Amino acid sequence: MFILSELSDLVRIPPHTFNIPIQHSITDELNKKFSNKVISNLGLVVTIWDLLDIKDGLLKPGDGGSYVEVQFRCIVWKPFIGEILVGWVSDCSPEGIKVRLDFFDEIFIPRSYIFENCEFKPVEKAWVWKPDDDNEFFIDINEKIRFRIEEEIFVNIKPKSSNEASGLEEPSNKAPPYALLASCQTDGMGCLSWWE
Amino acid sequence: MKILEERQSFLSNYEVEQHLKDIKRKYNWTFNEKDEEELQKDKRKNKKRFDACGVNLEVITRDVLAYLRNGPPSIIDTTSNFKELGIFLNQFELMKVEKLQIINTLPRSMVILYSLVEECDQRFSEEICESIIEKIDQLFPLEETEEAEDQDQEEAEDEDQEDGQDDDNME
Repeated sequence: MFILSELSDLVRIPPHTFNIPIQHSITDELNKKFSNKVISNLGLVVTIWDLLDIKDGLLKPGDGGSYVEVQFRCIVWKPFIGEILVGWVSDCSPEGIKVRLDFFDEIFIPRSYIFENCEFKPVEKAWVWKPDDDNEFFIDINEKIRFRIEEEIFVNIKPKSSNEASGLEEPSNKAPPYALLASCQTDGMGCLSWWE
Repeated sequence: MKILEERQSFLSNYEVEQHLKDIKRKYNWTFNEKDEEELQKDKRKNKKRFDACGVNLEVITRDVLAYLRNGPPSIIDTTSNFKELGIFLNQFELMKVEKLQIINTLPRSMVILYSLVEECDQRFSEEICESIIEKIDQLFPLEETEEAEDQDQEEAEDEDQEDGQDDDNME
């Protein structure tokens, strides 16, 4: 679910934008900095909702820009524990199911959170749910799936070292900054087509 | 950067969609051919693609709009319908997040509604649950079946035509 969060930040207004209204240049600078980025322990910032307060600009010696403290609200995507969402299956493995949304890829349903009578079939690369002996339901890649959010994991990402940034070295830690664990265990969960 | 208040309020998907659509219109962004056509028809003079806010905003606007368009709230076409559903849900003792989830998901069957509302069977009688689903069906009638949505565009159109014929027969 999307939420509104109130933040404050110090923004540098570059001199070449002094000719446009300050609200516009602040919004642009904030969007540049936060849009499509994860704030640790908060969530994925989509965009700025509105500006609440703009303090007087400060100057730094040797810098043409002005520094303004801004209080603003932004749209953040942060599903709460227990929220029901719909996404697409992007990968099935013996460990569990990976699910993606259009704008967020890091959702994982671990093996222990899938229906009890579920098993992984390596040949089909799919999970199969057998509610009873006669029925078999397949969870295939690219199937629409409904799931429940169980846990959120934030990882502090360190800045890239100079070697990694220039491509000399493969980044050692590829963990995403924000990942979600989901479950698929109760009535109504699983592929959308099952419950129609 | 300081976080003053982590969660000031919840937003429904509909509100987010409206906000992003405003941004998209204001900045003259086009994400597919249809957008391009619409921009051509627009009578405003300045049609320059605005990019001072960075490419990330453009990426997330495109992706979130795509996500919302594929979800159920895209059926909500007018603010008045949206309000009416909200007012209708207010008469029950639902938590705020539960109401929002119902508006975001628009459940069409009991099993989905039960999964959205905690302990639904103990808190509400069956009639109330049915009335919620009825209200959703009445405000936002389904035009095509869910299966059609999953299939590609062409097939979906065929399905539409068939639906249309069925309607004619019934009349």
